[in-house]
Amino acid sequence: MKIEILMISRGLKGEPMIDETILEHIVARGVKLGANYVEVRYHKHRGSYAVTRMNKTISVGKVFSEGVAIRVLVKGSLGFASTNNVSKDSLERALEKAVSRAKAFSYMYAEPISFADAKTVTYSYEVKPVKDFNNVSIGEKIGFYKEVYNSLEASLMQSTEKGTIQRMYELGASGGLELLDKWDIVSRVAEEAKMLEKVLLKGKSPPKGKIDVILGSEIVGLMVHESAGHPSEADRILGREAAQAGESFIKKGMLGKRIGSEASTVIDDPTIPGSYGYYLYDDECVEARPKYLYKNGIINEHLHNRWTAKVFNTVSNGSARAMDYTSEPIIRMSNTYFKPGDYSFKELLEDIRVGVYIKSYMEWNIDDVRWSQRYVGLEAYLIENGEIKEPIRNPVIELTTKGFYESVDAADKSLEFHAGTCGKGEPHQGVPVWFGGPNVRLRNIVLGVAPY
Amino acid sequence: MSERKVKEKDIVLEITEKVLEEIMEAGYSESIVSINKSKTVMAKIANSQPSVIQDWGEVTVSMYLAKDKRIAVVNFKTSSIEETVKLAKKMLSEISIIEESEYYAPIPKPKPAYVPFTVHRSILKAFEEPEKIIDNALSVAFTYDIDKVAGMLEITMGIRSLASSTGASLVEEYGTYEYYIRVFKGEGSGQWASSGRIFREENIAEATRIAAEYAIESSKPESIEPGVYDVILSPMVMGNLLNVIGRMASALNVDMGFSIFTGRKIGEKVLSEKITLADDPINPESYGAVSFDAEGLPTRRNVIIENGTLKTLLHNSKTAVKHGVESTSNAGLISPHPWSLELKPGTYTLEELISEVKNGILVTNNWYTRLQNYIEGSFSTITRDALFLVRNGRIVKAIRKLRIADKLQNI
Repeated sequence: MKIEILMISRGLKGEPMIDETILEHIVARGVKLGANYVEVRYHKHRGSYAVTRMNKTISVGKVFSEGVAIRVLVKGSLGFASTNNVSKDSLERALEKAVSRAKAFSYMYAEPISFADAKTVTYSYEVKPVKDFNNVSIGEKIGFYKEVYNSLEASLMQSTEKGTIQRMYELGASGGLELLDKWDIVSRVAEEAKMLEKVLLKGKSPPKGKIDVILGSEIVGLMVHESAGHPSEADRILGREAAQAGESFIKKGMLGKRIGSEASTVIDDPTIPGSYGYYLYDDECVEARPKYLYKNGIINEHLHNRWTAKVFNTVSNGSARAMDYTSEPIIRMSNTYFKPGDYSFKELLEDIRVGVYIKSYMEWNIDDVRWSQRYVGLEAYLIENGEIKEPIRNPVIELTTKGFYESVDAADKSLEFHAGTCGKGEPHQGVPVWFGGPNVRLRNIVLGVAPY
Repeated sequence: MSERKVKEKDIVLEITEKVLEEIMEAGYSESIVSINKSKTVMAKIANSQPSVIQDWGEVTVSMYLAKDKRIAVVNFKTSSIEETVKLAKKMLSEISIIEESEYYAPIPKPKPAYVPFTVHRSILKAFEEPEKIIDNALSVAFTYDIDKVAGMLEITMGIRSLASSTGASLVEEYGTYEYYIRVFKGEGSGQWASSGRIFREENIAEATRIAAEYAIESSKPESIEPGVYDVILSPMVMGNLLNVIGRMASALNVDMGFSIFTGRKIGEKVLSEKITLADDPINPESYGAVSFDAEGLPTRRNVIIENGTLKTLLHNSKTAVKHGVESTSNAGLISPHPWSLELKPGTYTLEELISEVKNGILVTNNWYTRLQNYIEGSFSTITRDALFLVRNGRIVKAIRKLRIADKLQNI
């Protein structure tokens, strides 16, 4: 019998962590109880926030969590237990639960679970903030928020005659509060609000029929997340999420099949320094690396953990992530993006006679095999004779995954990332991700309009 | 209830009161301490076999801390009460430098009408033997000619306590189950669910049968042209949309601009007159049943919308003061929320609904509901699983996925 053990600790620099000998003890005990795979993972998280409305603070808050997740394979059955009582006794009880629950279900497996081999290592890494969160008072943080609010208020006319327009946008990265300066949120929010005001007050109905469309980085990022990242998750392909997030139009054996044009390459890369989806080893201790999900229009590689790697007769590419100590590691994206091309933005525009440029969005959705999707533009403009003209309201693109990647004929050189929390799993796990890309041009797209 | 269980409940309440005492000694003028101790088992099924069995044991401590009308809320997931108290005491220096909250209101005094819920014995039994339930469900599913099933069973039991500086000292036990199953056949699939506080094997079997029948009936779907159709939404689809509307009834979401009720008045017609929507946490069989809210007030049934007219928003004491009304016992410490939404049934059967539709679609399930604008209510959602075309009062064929795009107010 092959026995494997894994220990992972995730904590906070400069704070006491769990005594790792307790984790070692649990691992050894798991083996004694009959498990041929034991994984013990410790997490400690802290967070601080303020709830604000307009320029007022409603409340401040703190979150803290500390706990341990245990995963075992017993007789081909996968058991998981988690507790936030990190004493040795409590962890022993949790382990026993994981083993006994797994055993109780083991007779139901027609295909017992096993994991592909992986080269596991002892490794430690940290993200060093330049401006530490703990050295900035809540007063200063709220002061920053108020500065953003005041500049927003000053930039608007506050007219309500044409109804409302709403925008949500998230910024996220790995690092410290120095990022707030880098992002220049104060002027960014004010500028964007001014632009949306123009869309609200002056926006016209979008043109109808088949036209050329340029999609901005934000919407391209979302599209590759939804229609390349999710369907490439090998656990979805194998049906493990069938009752939850659904399955995938990609089936086992579809590697090498064409999904789009030569210009369509989508990469998932957890190793981008400073990124929101940053990690160097996944939660099964497998080294992270960039994955080319679609390469020049061809389905090239899936996202794997050690279980799917075994089924696909390959090795894991380090895509297993767990949200916290209550979560089993499952296959997740990290930083997913459309590979930039060699056009300038001007070159993308220049031969479009009538088209639209869609820069941001609010509403979107995609079916549960990641094939049919809809995106409703927020900040969007008419393009006429190679030039950007007046704003338009709520343009809708509704197309299939293949329809999207086949229609891309060029991408510009820019590359921007956007932050989000990707949801998957039962219970729901939200993990930080970046999604991004350049501006891309799509030919002959049927454009619709959403009510406004 | 066993003697051991009763003792555990008392111990949790005792710890809660002790934490409150220590917090108040630190110098807060008001506080609420709540402890939630729970254990959960979840079995997931994929490709007609288990995919993972998960088991959680958790302690969560939530606190509302106030001084001079300044507010802090903390949420700690740890069993270390010592750490909890230490962290909560530290918040005093944080709230001393913030402004008075425009939502500040004194913590309400406890009210006597309080009947704690308990854990039904059927939940205790289910918690011990989830494998038998799954085995039975799979047996029921495979009495049909189907391809495969996937699904989930979750059983949770816990103790919830609350102590406040106005003298509330409350504890209740809870036990719930949730089950859903998705059955696949050919190109079709069907999904159905069951949840509540009393576990009945027959409810699991019934949900399984509905999912299997929908899967079989939808196994050969055909495409139809997009257009304007009448739709019949199943309880699962309507539940999904009402959840969105229920959250929009939170007074804080209204104030924040995340609601179709923003700018609307109580007494105003906001939805179709066929809609009467209530929040009913005191239905003892409801999955969301709860006897006291996060401020210690006894919960009650609230009618949010009656025949399309907005009757009340959902309030805690803070939003209530801001809106000049009384709390509806829907506290969240900062944001109120619904507990258990209920749409008043009509007098039709499903067959009668179908019989009156000339050109429409029966939607059994949906997902991915997203809004373009929360105030305007513009949304879209995608159908999933069985979908049927209805012509002249009869189901004529299964059809492929469609998207519903409209304004919530038009429902």
